[in-house]
Amino acid sequence: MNWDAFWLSMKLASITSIILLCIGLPLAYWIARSSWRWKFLIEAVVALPIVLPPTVLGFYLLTAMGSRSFLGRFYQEMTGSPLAFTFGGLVVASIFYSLPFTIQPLSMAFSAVDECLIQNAWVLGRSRWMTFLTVILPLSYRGVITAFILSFAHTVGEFGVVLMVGGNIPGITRTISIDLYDQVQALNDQGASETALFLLVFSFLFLSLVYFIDRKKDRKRVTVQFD
Amino acid sequence: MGLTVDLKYLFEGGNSLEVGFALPSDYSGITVLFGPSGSGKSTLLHFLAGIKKPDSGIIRCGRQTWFDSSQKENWPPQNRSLGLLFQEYPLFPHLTISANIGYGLNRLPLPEKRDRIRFWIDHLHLQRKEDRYPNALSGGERQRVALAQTMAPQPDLVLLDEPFSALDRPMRSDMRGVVKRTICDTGKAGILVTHDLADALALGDHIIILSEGKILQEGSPLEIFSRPALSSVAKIVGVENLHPARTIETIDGMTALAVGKGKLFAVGLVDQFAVVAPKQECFISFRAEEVILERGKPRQSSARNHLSGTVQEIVSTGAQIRVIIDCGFSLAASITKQAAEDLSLRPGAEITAVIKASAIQILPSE
Repeated sequence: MNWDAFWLSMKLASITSIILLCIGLPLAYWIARSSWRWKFLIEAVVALPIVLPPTVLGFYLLTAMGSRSFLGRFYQEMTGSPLAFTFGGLVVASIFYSLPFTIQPLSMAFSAVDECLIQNAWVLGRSRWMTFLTVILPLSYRGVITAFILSFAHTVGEFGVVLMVGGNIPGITRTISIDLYDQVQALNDQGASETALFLLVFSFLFLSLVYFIDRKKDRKRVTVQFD
Repeated sequence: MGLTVDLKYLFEGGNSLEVGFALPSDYSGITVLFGPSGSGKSTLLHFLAGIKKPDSGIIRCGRQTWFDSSQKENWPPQNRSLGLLFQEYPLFPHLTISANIGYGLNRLPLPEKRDRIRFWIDHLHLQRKEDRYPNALSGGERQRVALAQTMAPQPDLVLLDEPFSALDRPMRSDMRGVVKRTICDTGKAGILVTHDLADALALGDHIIILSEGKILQEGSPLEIFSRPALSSVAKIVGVENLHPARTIETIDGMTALAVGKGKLFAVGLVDQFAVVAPKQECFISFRAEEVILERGKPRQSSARNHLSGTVQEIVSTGAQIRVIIDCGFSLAASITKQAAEDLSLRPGAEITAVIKASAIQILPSE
């Protein structure tokens, strides 16, 4: 088990999930509440990484981060270093790749909040922002936790996009899933099986946590129904 | 608090809402928006609350202009200083009863906020429930909390969107009393939306009849229910005897009318619809309570209408008995159970229905 790769993956997943939550909360709220007629296009763009091969996403991101693109040049001029094949580049790529796993649970949770409660908060004098903080967010906390867990787990397990955008630089862009690939290539069966088992147990535990949270929500619904 | 409303709105299905009414500046009490489902009552309430936006028009409350399409003015609900008691009683499930009641009091200093919450908890008998969550309350308690939540910020205007529609009869009656006392004791103005006649009569100081997006009539409950101005209003407010008629002649302020195969006399009333030309199609309306039933030989009386007929149907409506009589047209009379027993009423029995000419309202054909 390569612990450097493990901690790099944890660092990447933590930073990505926190940034995704900051981007995801307003975006998911807008998706849940907006009646804009072209909203479906934004929803489709957000969901693209679910169906798009990771290599395709990785290719476009690599092109966008390259020194020939406007974005790549702009970043390099501002920071003095390129974005591609760096940890920063991996974070950007992971944000795009895991975006649907944050947005979908959040927008579902926001949509489930009774419109009457929101209108009641407005009529009682609370601003839209305070209504979000005091009514919508507390009633959607399970969706927020699920979004965080799913984006974290998905980032830990990503392979194709990381390989395309980050390459395989030890300590900088070599994540745990890339390390597993390296071990298989080097015929290190013992190391590969340890890493694979770790990733399997990790994913299982995270998904169990998501379903556990959902089960609690279902119980709550039943309680309310029969009250 | 004066209120001026003049609004237009086109629904997606093609129906429209076009309403205008005003409440005087010294008005306090409850105004009822009464009408059948789909007449636009709740939509109008949502316009007043600022939850929905009308296409055009104006809403003025006191000196404030909440909505004015010509000035592109539209105040958000947060700034309108009103309370809205929803049909569903939407209490915040993650907040305790105290926090729910105090939700609209966030601008008050903490001690004053505590006092206000305590006042409403005591006033609506919610003691020992303040730390519970809405799910742990009974239906009646939840309604009282919702009322306390609406009233606690002391809004100038309270909107009530069919607040009793989901309640059973005893609870409904209890809640009506609580709402009436709460609004009237605080000297506030309320607007109640309902399609329930009992709610309108029990709570309304002023009634506005709304149908298909238009106001048909407004006035005091007595005026509306005993003297509907249109046949459609009579139908909406549930006048039991509403029949097409044709005028025969008008003599000394009294109009003779042909109703089915029968004939009735009505007093020409001092309003715009009372002056009826001969042989004009119209409607007559009168309440079932205005009909007196007699058996045996006709007696002398001041009533102008003595209609002989046959009892067709006898229906119990709780304390009263509804008797349907065929006297050339189908006439409904409402009498007590004791009276029905004294008259030995049964289907097929011969009976005389007596109605005063002044109890009959002549309505124009629409």
